[in-house]
Amino acid sequence: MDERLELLWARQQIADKLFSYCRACDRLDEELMASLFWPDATAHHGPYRGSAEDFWRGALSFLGRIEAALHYASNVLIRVEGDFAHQEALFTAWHRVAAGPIPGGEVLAESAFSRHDESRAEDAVFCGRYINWFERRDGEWRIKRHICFTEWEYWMPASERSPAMARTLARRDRSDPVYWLPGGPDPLDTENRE
Amino acid sequence: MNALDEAALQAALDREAIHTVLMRYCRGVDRLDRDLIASVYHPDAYDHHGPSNMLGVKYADYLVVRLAELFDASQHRIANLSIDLRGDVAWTESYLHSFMNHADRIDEFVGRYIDRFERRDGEWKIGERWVVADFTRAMPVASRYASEGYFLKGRRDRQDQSYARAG
Repeated sequence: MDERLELLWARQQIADKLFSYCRACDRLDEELMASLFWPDATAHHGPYRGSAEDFWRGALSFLGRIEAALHYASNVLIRVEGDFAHQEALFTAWHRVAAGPIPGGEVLAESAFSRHDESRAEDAVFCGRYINWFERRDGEWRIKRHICFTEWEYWMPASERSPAMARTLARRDRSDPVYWLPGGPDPLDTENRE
Repeated sequence: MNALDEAALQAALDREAIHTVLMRYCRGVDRLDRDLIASVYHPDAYDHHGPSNMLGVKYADYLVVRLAELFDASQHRIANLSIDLRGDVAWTESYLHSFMNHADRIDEFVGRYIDRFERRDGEWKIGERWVVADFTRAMPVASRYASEGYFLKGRRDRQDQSYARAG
């Protein structure tokens, strides 16, 4: 492949994997998450240091115990050098946490979620950066090292659900619209079409 | 250029065209530009947008009136963009963070556009859209940033600086 296209292609693959990481967190998709990391990948995520797989299994288990999350990644900066690539992104991560203790929350003693005010439902908003080291093996780019840290956070009482929210199509499994495929059953009630 | 290069280049161009359409929509709704909003939809494209569920090109007419009534200013930001290219069809997910500014509060919407793009006559446009809310939040405004008046003010018409093409 032409060198310039090769570079363009690499950058697209890497950005795709970053956004897939966010999607996997937000839809609790283990299969997608597993496809993003090399088996020997490591993670340094907040207080956690260790294997990437142990990290993401723990993270998905935690995210499944709160009400919703959205991991928003912008300012994606990618530098490709041969089979290595360095990627940085700024993230804002929203987490909606119900009033009361987070189930299984005792393992969170060291984490930011220990600051949850149990008297109310809250939105915990973390702002920070993802730094991923990607490696290309047999033509495929995957994460070799995942580094994630928060630079600041804020906690706010959750707003009441607006009427629009009651109709949301968002799901945290494969019934979310992002997994709908052409030719499949149309999951929408189309009677309301004007 | 060999076949592999051609395919890679075409995929890059397709992705770029799709990204541009998404950006055009955001500018359209923030500047109340009816034509720009309408330009992102194919004529038979439906937009499933909360309680409204209508043809995109009709939705453009409705939106510019409704948005002007509802709040003073808005900003629609798109970050995460995942594109699943399948020939002349592409399924996309774009993460949306939007702000709607009222006199006393700011409404925040955190969600996603799920779009089926279609290429017809060489042009990528939305064939169907679903707007998905993951969070919403209303924040009271106690005070405004002191130097707000210092900057050029965003406008919701074609006098906005983004339309300027001279000096």
